[in-house]
Amino acid sequence: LTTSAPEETLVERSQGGDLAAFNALVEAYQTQVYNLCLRMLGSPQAAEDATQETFLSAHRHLPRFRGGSFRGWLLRIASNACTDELRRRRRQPALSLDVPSGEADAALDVPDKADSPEQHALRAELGRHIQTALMELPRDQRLAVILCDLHGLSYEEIAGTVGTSLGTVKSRISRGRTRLRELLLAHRELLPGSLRHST
Amino acid sequence: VESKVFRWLANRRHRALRGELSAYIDGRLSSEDERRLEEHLEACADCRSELEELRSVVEAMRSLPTVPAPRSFAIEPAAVPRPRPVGAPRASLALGGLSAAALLVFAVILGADLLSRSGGETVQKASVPEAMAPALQADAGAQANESGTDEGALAPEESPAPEQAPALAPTVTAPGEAAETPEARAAELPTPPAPEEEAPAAAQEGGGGGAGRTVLLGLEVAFGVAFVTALAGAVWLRRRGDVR
Repeated sequence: LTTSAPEETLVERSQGGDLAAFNALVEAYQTQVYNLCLRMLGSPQAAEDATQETFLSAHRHLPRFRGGSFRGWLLRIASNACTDELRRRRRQPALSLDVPSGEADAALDVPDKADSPEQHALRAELGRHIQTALMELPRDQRLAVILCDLHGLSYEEIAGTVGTSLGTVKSRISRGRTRLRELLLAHRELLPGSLRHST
Repeated sequence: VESKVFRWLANRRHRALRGELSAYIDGRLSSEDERRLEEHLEACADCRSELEELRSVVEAMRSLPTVPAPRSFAIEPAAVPRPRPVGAPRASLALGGLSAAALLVFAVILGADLLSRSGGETVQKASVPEAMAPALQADAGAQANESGTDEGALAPEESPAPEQAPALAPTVTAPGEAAETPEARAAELPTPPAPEEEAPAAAQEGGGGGAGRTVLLGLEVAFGVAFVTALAGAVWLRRRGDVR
């Protein structure tokens, strides 16, 4: 019953202290939040921690939510949690080493039932290369590209989530994609469509 | 030379338009910019292949699988901190303001008292009641309500206050309510008019010079206690709020 209520009602009830209503929202958004953190941080363990932190922080700051897109608000908190984690890594370089690739691969490797084993292997490898390339991008560009191409947010939604101008969003996405293109060209045989065939 | 200039211009144009390919993919160009870019694309093989490559990048990004959440991130009831009393910070602020006001009045009365001591009876009679009129009347009114007639009993009467303020705190939700403490009424009074009938009565009781001095002394003690009480209350509330 709780989960079928419209989002606005759930948000209102959460603000009134209804934990079940808030957890219905957690249920609805945890996959999106987790995937944002996973792509931003490149490590399943760090992503899990950041996701947990996101929802705890969201719950703490519920009174400050003043309407608008709840998803945008959550993704903003999540991107802040990722930024905190990335800053922490920079301060403690010992922790910045990526997790053993086996662990990351296992988490990022989601079989698609329609794939043949060969397709699946190719897709998994492409996924690894994209993730590696994403981690090479400056944080702002990575976030903009992820929100745009993975989460399907509009430029306006990204501007609102990140707290910047439309022009900045546009240029971050453009520069991020251009850099990804350079990084991925080395593996063009893995890429879908025309990039594979172009010279 | 002409061909060099032309090439330089074309190159500049090329670089500018190249930067719009990403927005073009997302359909974010104005129709005029879009037309301009498409014209350029027809003439520029480099941009055409870059456009295709960028499209592949976007396609590859979109093809990334959504990874299921490894567990539920629902919040356990035990993990939720107990709701912090919403009124506490505001009440703390209000009490802080009251303590400041009480300190100010205390300082003024003390100043007037000292002045009258050095300046003699006439100064005291003339200046103190006039300068202090609103505060004095107000306070007299408040104290008349509070403790009846005997000024000597004022100071002892005030002393239970330290327990009063903290005890009130949890239920206090707005500065308006906080203002119902005796200190609050005394300190706030410069604005609202004092109860007219009671003030003269108090003044009459303090008729002679000696009695006037007793009134002043009583007021000093009262406002001193009010200051300390309100300050302690404010600090106590703040600290209690910070624990959570």
